[in-house]
Amino acid sequence: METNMQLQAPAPGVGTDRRAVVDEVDLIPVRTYWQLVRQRFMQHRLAVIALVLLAVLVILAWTIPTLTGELYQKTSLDLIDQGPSLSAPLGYDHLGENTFVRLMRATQTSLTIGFAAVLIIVGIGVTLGSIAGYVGGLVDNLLMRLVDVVLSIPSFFFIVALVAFWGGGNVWVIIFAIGLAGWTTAARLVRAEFLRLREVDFVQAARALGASPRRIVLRHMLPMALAPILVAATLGIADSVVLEAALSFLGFGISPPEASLGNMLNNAQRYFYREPILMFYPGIMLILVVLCASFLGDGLRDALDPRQRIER
Amino acid sequence: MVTYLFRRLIQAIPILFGISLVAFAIINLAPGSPVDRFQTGRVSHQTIQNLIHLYGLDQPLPVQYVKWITTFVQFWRVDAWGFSFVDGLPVTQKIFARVPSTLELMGTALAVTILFAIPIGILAAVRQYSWADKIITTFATIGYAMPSFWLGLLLLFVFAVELNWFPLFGKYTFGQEGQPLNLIWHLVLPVSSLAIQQIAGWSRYMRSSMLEVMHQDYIRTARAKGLPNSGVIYRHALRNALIPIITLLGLTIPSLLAGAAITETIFSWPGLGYLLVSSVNTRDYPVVLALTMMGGFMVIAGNLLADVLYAVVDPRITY
Amino acid sequence: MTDTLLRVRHLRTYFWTLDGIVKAVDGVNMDIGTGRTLGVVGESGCGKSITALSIMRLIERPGKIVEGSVDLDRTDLLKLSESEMREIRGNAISMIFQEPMTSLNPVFTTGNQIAEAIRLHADIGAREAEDRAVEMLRKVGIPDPERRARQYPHEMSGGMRQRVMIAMALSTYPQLLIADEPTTALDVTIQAQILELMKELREERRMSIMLITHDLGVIAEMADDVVVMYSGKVVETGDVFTIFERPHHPYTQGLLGSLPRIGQRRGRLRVIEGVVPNPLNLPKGCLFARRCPCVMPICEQTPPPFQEVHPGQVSRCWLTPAGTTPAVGMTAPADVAEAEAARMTITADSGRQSATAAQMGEVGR
Repeated sequence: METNMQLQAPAPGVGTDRRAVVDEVDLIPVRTYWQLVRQRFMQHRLAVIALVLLAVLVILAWTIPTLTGELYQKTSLDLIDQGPSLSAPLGYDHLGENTFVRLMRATQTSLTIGFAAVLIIVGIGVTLGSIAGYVGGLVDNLLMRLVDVVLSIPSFFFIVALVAFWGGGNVWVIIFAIGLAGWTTAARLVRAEFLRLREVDFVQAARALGASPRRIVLRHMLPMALAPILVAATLGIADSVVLEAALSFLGFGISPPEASLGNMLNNAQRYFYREPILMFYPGIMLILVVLCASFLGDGLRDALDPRQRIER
Repeated sequence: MVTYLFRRLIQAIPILFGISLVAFAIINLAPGSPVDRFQTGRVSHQTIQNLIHLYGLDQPLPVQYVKWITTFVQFWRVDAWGFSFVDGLPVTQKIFARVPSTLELMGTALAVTILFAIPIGILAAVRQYSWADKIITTFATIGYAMPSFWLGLLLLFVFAVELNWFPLFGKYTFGQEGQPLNLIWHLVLPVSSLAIQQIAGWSRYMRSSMLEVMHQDYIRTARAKGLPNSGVIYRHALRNALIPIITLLGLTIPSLLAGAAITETIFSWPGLGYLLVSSVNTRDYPVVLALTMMGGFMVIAGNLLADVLYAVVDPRITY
Repeated sequence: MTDTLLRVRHLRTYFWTLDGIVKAVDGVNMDIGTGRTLGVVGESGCGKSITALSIMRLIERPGKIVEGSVDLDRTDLLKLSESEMREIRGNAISMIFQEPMTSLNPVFTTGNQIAEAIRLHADIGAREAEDRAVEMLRKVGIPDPERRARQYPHEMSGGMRQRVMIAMALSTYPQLLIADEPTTALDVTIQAQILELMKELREERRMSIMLITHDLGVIAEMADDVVVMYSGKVVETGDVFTIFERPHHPYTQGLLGSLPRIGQRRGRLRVIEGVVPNPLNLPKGCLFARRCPCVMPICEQTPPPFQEVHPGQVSRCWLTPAGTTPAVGMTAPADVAEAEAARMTITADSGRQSATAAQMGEVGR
């Protein structure tokens, strides 16, 4: 509740007892920013569930392929189309490959690409965005025109052409293609935050105290811009995973015997008269990853920046 | 307004120029050469050299670029965009033949999106916290998370393979070309697979935009005038809530183009996206180059359209 | 006193928040006489605006009017159906708001918005309504009203927009105008113009006004009667002369004391120490006790009664009607005021110290 009056403690001399003072102080518990963030994040039930689920997925997708080695690409004529069993909870496909193990390997590949692409997106975005926002002027203008150009290229066409012509199926090419097409949002976010922060008192104060530009950017401005970047990065993982799946689905990305969610879907499409169930597993895994990332992003946004929160 | 449009068109030129540089670089700096596919041993070395010379591949890249771009801008000439490596047809002809199909698919998907998403978003916002709102929000969340190509496969499997209600592929049944009903019948599944994800995204956005507007002071003023609820929502809130939605229009074009590439491939829809995928597969460089330019052009046009609509809807914006 | 136009009794409006129930308006009574202006004063968050919105029945989730009656000419507005209430809103009772910059819809012209209000309550055509809208704009002193009616809100200044709001509110000839901080967001010179305009229109129409403000200067200039609110309750009522000359409740005295006056250079501007109590955690006795300079043991224990201290002056305070009023009155001689100021400075400082001590004790516990 706001007030126009000055905030002053009640005077004990006029008879207010001390307990009253304590009560009022009690209402404002002292917590650090990160404690508050954690507390607010924990209140976001869906985000917590998403985080746990994502953690489980990551653990499964890294342990199972590691434990089973090359099993995910081992074909076996006598196991073709066999139903579920303890060692193959999702049965075997038309080549006699263990679907569950393959799905886990595919999840690992897709998540790796997702995380790595986001690292590139954030790397390029933060670098160019902070240069544009801090330096301003002509540099800013040129960089923003570059953003316009990249935004106007239909990104999917760009990625398809890049991946297909620059070494189809290479994981690194896929990661770089997604990263190169996706950094514009991050750059814009950081630039906007920097433009705002440039005028903020504590940055001006740091400048007046003679802090070096490097120090101002790294110590004072970047941490403040962290919140929107973190949220954008979380959502970026989902986008990247879906992009990879789309590429591999069309046959431009990861090709068999290597496994990815996209090429499993591509495979399922070819055999979907015979074994329609095969298209569900990678599809549901994709939905799960996207849902987790978007809930996590929502939770982070609410937790990191309470101003943006309108309602629960 | 006319001067604004003119200025925007002028501004689009350097952006298109930038796109052309990027597209040219991707294709021409890529390892390998378009003539690689002839290196099978059955084509003589001399023939390959002739082809390289014919395509101008022996010239330095800047020269190749300038030659390409200067002819490219003369799009009204049949040979302006070169000839397909695959079938030797003029690229302009190949592309312009496909433009209507893509526009039909994307346009219908966009229209369906707007038609469904806006009322759904309004309903969810007006009945905030109700069951209707919860159901809508849940479906929108799941729908948004569903990749359109997976949804396409699912629809194809359920409605074309299992139920046999809709055709498996193509734009017309053989022998019924040009019949509107047949076209609509063929459009249902590809449009659904494109639109459902868009509807999910747009309705979520519409809901939050509407909720934000409903908390504005002028809505309270409208109520204080004695306006009934419907008047408050449809007259005062809706027009304001639609303003931010226009931004989505510009943003949707690239995602529709991406979606179209995949959806057209799944449903064998004879549009630009399908052409892109097959041209990339056959390394048909002139076609890929022209398609990328075409896509960029559509994105810019979409953004321009959004900006013009802004001015129409929001009186605070003047150009 | 003249006959009563609006009679509010036992009005309670609560808000169900995530942290608990906020009793924003908690048993408010007030009367507005025909042709009279009632000034409602108090700090932000004391329930003034919520009272006004409750009268208009414009409270939205998570708020709800829990109890009470709002009689307009013997009709209880709280018992009307929603459609009957719409007939009252903007017609018998009009309202103008604090923020002229955001209170008009940005996508419609001002003429259009005024005409809409007129057509809602009168069976006339669109053209005629527009003509009347232009007339109203002329009446509230907007030059070149024909042109202004075709303009959008963003093309006008704040003062101009508030005039448009007034034109809109008065276009239906309401019996009661509720003005919620109508001049707070405006420049001082514009403030004076708007107040002058409201006065003129009030005389012309014999209209009643409920004027919500935290600016006592505005009250002094405009109001006939005054209601002082604190923490969701009315703490003192009386006519404007009584309230200004003989304030009884220490809170009213504090409000008057915190008013800067020209010519008074000596002494500090007095403040009411502390803040409004947390609405989720109200003290059990008098709500003002913690900030009250004349607090007595009973104040902490039992809520004071709402009693008549003088004819026509009612106060919610344990102090005797005779008024063991402390020497804070506005007519206090300069030297007393100075001594008072000095005392307050000292106690304020020691108060801060003791708060710190208490805090440390809290940590150590």
